[in-house]
Amino acid sequence: MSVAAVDYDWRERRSPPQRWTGFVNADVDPVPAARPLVSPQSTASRPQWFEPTLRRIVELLELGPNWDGRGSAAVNRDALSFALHMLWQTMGYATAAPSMVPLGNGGVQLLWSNASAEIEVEVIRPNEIMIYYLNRQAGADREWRAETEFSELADLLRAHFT
Amino acid sequence: MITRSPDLPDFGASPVTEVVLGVQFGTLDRLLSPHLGLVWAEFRDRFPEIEEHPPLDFTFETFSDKAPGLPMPRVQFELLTAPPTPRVFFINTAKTELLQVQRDRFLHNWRKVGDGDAYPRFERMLATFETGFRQFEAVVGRENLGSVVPNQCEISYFNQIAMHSDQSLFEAFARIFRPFTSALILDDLGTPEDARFSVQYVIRENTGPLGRLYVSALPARKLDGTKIVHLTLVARGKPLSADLAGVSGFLNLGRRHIVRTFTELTTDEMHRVWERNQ
Repeated sequence: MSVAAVDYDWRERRSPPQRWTGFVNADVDPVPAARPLVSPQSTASRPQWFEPTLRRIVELLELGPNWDGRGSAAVNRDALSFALHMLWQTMGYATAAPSMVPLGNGGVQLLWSNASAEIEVEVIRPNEIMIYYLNRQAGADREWRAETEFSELADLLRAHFT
Repeated sequence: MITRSPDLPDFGASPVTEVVLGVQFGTLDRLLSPHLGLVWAEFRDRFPEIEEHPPLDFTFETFSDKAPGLPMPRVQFELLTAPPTPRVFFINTAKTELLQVQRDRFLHNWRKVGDGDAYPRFERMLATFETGFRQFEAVVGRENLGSVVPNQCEISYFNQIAMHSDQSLFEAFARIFRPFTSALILDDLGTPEDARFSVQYVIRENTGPLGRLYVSALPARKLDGTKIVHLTLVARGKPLSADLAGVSGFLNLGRRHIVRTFTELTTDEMHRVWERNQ
């Protein structure tokens, strides 16, 4: 069985040279301005959903082809990466982590469900997303396609799952 | 002859030192290290030098009005049972141009190596990028490695703006950038000792947000010790369509925003230094 690793670095995420030279290596040596803090802050603001979601992603990465015995494709790393980018833009600090289910086509489905609503997001591949929303109290549902803009999904997640 | 849109500023002595055009596509899981040799065979006559580098991480621009543009922690997925397929550089003899290939990227760089190296201009770079991408696609198809489906593209301009040796960093910033820097001089503490900035803008089309333009300026030293301000402009986003035409469409759009933003953020005095002629 394959073993997958997820490596993330929260503290260094704001390093501009790394982020902005993502495709190339700069040939300059930035002059560091920051010195080690004498009084570093003791609090961290990592969203509550982040760790459990990463753990689930690792589990999904470990699934190989034919993980269900019915010929399904291995979960696509591109789809998982895109799902994480999408969640980062839509989830609040205390929004519930989604259940994550592999799809037979290599995509991944994200699920939130409680007494008031259900939301399903299918990440088929990057920029190809299907969103289903059921309002249990109103008895209404709807489905729509999305690419990169997820404001409405963010509103719904915050209204029902935060 | 290269024709340039009349409303696009042009500089005869631009401070640009590196430009990168790139595309990220769905991972070609069947592309292994030996296949990269087959890809190199396509380019070896123009790019005879090679280098091997660690692969780049995924990146995607996504949007919502609830978390506008917050940078995500760096996350890297890695299968530990097999070594990562590297990113390879195919470099020309002058070392001024290169192609980069990995399982989910195809990039073309121009970089200034010596003082006499002139920027070949965007249009020529785009032609090299498009030709190379088609050749890469042909190898992928011939070897049955999957389909190349672009999902993100990026154009980056790196500028090195020299500072006078007796100039403070803040004085350099004030000379280069429009007057917003003057608001940073405080009654109690005076002029900042250090300054750097980063801003980002959303690139919108009729259909909604398409990508982002990132601008950063920070002090740096060249390898020879010269003090500079390193000004970086990066446009990244979804291709207009999931094919080469859509990638080129985004790169053209991104280049337009980069040139216009560079011009708007910098001073007329610097435009004269950089020989603005349009």
